[in-house]
Amino acid sequence: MSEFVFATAQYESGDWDSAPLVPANVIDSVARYTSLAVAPTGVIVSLGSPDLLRYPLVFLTGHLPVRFSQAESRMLGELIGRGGMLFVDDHNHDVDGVFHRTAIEEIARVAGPLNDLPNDHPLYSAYFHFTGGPPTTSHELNGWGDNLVHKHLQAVQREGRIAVLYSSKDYSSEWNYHPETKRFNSVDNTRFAVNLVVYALTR
Amino acid sequence: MRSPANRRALELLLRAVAFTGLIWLIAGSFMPHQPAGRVSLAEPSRLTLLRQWSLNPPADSLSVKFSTTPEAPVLDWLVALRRAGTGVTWSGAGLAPLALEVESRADPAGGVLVRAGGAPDRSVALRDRLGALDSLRLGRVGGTAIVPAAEGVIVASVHAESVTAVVPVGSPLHRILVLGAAGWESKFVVTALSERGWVVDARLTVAPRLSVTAGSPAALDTSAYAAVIALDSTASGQSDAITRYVHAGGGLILGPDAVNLRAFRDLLPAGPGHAVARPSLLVERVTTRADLPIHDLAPLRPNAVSLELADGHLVAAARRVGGGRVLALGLGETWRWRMQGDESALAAHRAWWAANVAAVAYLPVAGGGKPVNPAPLASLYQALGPPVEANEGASPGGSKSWLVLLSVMVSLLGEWTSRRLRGAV
Amino acid sequence: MNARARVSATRQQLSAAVIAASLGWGLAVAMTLLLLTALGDLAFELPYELRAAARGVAIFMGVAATLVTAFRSRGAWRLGSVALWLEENAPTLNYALVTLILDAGGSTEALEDHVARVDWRAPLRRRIGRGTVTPLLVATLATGAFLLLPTNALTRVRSPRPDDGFLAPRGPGESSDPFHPLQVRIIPPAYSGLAGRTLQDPLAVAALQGSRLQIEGHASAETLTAGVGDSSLRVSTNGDRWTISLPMPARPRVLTLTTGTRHRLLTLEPEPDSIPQVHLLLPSRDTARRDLTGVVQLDARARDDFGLESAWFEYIISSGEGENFTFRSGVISRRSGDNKQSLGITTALSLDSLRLAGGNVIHVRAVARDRNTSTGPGLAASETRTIRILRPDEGDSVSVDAMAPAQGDSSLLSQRMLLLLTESLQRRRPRLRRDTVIEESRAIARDQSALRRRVADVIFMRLGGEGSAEESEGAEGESELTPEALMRAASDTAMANGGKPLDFSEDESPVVALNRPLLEAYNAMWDAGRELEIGEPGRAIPHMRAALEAIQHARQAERLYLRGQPKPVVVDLARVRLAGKLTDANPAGTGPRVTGGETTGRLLDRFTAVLELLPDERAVDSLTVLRIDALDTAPGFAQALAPAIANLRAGRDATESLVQARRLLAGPAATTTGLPSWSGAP
Repeated sequence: MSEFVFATAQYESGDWDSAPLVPANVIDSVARYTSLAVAPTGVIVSLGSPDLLRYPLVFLTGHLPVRFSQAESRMLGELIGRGGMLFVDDHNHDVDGVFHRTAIEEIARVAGPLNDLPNDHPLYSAYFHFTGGPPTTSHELNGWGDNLVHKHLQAVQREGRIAVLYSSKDYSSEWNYHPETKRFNSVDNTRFAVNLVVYALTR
Repeated sequence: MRSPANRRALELLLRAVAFTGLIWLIAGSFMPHQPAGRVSLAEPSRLTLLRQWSLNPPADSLSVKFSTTPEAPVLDWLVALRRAGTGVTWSGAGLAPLALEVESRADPAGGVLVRAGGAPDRSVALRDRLGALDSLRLGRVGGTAIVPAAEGVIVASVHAESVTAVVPVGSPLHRILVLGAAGWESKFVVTALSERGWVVDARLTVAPRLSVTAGSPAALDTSAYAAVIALDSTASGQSDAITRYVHAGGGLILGPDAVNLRAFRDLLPAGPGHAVARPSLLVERVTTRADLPIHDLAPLRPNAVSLELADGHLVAAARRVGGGRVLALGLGETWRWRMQGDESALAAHRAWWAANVAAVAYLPVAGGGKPVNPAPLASLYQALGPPVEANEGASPGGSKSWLVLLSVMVSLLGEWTSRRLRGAV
Repeated sequence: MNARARVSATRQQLSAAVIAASLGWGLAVAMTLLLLTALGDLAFELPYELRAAARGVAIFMGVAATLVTAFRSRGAWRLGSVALWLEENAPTLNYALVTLILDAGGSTEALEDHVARVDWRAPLRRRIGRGTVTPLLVATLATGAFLLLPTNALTRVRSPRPDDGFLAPRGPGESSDPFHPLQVRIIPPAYSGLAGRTLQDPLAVAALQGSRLQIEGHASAETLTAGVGDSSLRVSTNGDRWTISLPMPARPRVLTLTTGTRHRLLTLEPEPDSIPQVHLLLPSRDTARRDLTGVVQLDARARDDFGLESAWFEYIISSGEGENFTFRSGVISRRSGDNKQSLGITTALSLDSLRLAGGNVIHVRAVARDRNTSTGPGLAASETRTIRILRPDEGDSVSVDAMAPAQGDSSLLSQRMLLLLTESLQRRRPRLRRDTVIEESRAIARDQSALRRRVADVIFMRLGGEGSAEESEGAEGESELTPEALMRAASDTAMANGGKPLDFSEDESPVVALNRPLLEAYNAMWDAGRELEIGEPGRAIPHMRAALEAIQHARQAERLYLRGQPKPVVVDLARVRLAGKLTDANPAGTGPRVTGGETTGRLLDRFTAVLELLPDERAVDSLTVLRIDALDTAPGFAQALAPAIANLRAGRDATESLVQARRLLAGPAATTTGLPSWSGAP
């Protein structure tokens, strides 16, 4: 049986590696709460490479403008068309920022326009239950970035499944810490990542 | 006979008899030869003639020559004639054997499975009500075609011979149940079959005593499910229910991670087998099914059928268990083929999984499909026996001819004797 | 009345007759030509140009006939000619009249008396009758026949217009189909510069999105309704002509026209205006530089099918690091497209003006906008180039402006050559002896082995390991590593570096990452060498192709990444497995997967159902709707349905096109020789 490998997209235009500890944290959470076979380390995969298709769930983040090259656009289209899923998080947490503006433009060009995901979507009950929609992040609550608490995530859906999930809530910052320090948190703020992975593996 | 006039009258009579007989013999030599008591007809496929013969048999026996295999009504009529006392034999050079069967496929995409039998190396043309479908070449034991769409009837033809079967009405298909651990393989198996048109229920294990269910998984019963796909050990908890389901007629597919399970050992068509080591150094570049990890299912069980080999390893085998069918697969991580393959891989992966399900799925009996006369030539042999070539050397009139000749000779001899005794020249 | 007076009166009568005859003939010729034109139009529906020309010709010929006739009878205007004619037709005059008229001398009284006794009214009447009755009769007959023609036929010939195509020559009430023929006028959007066009009785209308359609027909519009989908359309009437005006919809639709029990479907197929194509020529690749000043040349080309409105360069400058970034953006060198279909923009981006600092990243791209004013301007952008300004403390070894090819890249030609040699050997193999094949195959294997060792050297060098960069031709020594051993050695070397950013001296290759594609190439070369060694070039070819592909990937995978690779965190799965609290983990069930839209299966079901109805007209309408619905998901099938629909509407056999359409939708039959050992098995 093949194990789940957390893949971070390396794209040409920006700082794709701005949250290097997110993979380990997510992997740790998946292992803590599920019995899913998971690789102990994440991988970095070039967005324009055919290797992208080895990882049906890909994480993309950054602060800088997002501009997909032709190869990246093509491979992203292949990933989505074959049933894969891209999770994009704005590490700036700024809807006026260049990452957000450029990312949604590129996503619309490659996959279609993003629409608000209803807060009763199956993603929010895929493993743990998040009754109010996506959990807020500390950066949101501290007024970081655009000083907004975003009520919704956005998504491009294909035939009833999420193909691209977009977050302005800065989960990249929220989850960018060594998993060893998780024990100091009263509430594990990475549980939503488990929902995300379980959703991707089962839908 | 004392009176000379009477004697001359008698001689005239004998001469007339002789001449009459000779004329009869000469005339008969120009008529078609027919065995005495037989009627030969090259095209008996005219029901009106058969009807007439039934009322007024033209002879004691019929010798029928066929240019094409007769249709069922003609054959039935000849059999009836024979049973009524008329001897019927037949002949026909060049009649091509041809048999046809059409059955539904357990596939939401539709289509029918066509099996044709006949002489090896013959090309059988298939057509339906709309037009030409395709042609298939017969091997030593026939040929098969999966026709994705057919309208009305399917007619198989070899030259002038043809067999017709009604396209069966598609039965409503039940659902499929997928059991496995949550992962890319289970996800993409569900996805592929859903895209094909199946309604798929799934129970995917994510943690001990925690599963994600898709659809409405119900009790395992042939009234609910056409097939169950058990991908790994997470299905072993339902092994008893699965076994009962299979024996009742359901279909079961076991993935390579499930064939090793003791719970399914009695159902396996092969194996449990072993994983085959393949060079995997950084090369997870899968482009075809041939690149997938292999679990060799050998050895094959006695009543099982080998369905696919890869690199000499058994990777698909099936057998009947009770009323149902079990298929074991030895190709793992098929999701890689879908994701990393070439542009045809998406459709190919979907079609492959759909075909696997079609191989075992429980399908309610549907109407149509069985032709009225699935093998016409065989039916002809069965009804009328082997062909008998008509005897074409018989003299005209048969047994009557020598009697006439004898009469002529006696008449001529009698007249000569009378004339000689009378002293006439 | 003297003779002269009498002759003069006769001349007047004859002149009037000549005029009448001339006019009669002129009218006869013109009306006959018009009648013949109308009859031809009834039979063949002549185009406007021909009808207009025929009318002109008819008028011209009529006038010509009038003039010719008058000219030929010009004698009627001369007294002398009239007198001569009278002499000819009244012999009793004995030339007395001519003598009097011509004043030939002699006693005029006697001549006058003689002439007075002759009555020439009868021949005059005959002459006038003969001369006028025939042309007037012909003219009357031709005119009468012309006027008896159907109204439309009269109109089309009498007053031909370019847009009277929908007027059937057979007038109203004679055609059994109120929707035949239809005329569709297409008015493209102004920005496209396309000329309008008119379609006569089409089954489908394809036009640019944003076009205006005007559909005209000739039927009673009292009960006429029109609609597209659920929307109804307004029908304008003008006498016995009706008109519908609507914009071309954004997606393919079917226009339904209904009156009484009759209906007609017309498919509307929008042709989208494609967005421009923009290519950024300079910079040709991402770069990194140390200088904060200077100029970067920008060059781009844009093309559009209908013309460009403008094009420009956009840049975004990112400053900052960690979690703190600021951004500036701008537009430069905006140039009007002047509605041209092709445009080039060139400028020099002055870095001085951007007030750059170390660590800044400039993203630059070209953007073009087309002239589409109806469905919105199409905006397109080129690929983005990234220009990174290095910080002062970043690796001083990196002084390249452009990314250098990987050192292993020089193997590209060699591997390709080896592949070509092997393919050639494989082609010649049937003609060669076995030992020759083995010998040549092993020669290639030696070259392959040498190439493989060079790739191994590159891999080691990148990792800071010791490695010889020299090829050793044909030497199989202890340094030969299996792929697994190489991987282990490479991994050990990478770990030995402690994951620190790699440092190179200026003389060495500026590549900084472990190159997975090169390892794949190494592995593939190993497999290829093995097959070549045993004289199986055919089995080696796929491995050699894989090696070539991997080397090409190595080129693409080479990117300058200058901030160091983060040390990967390895999660201790065994320790954390199921250590979390699961009490509130409760995955909710979901419904079955729904594949929406017109899948192939649904289309096939509909197609099969329609076939059952053929050749009913409803089936043809259903095929029309099916074709529109299939345009997105099964365009080949939709295209194949078009001739089938056309044939069915024309009453022709459509079997072949329907069979073709079905084959395109459902796919061909999959045939196998022999009977499967398992029913339903793939």
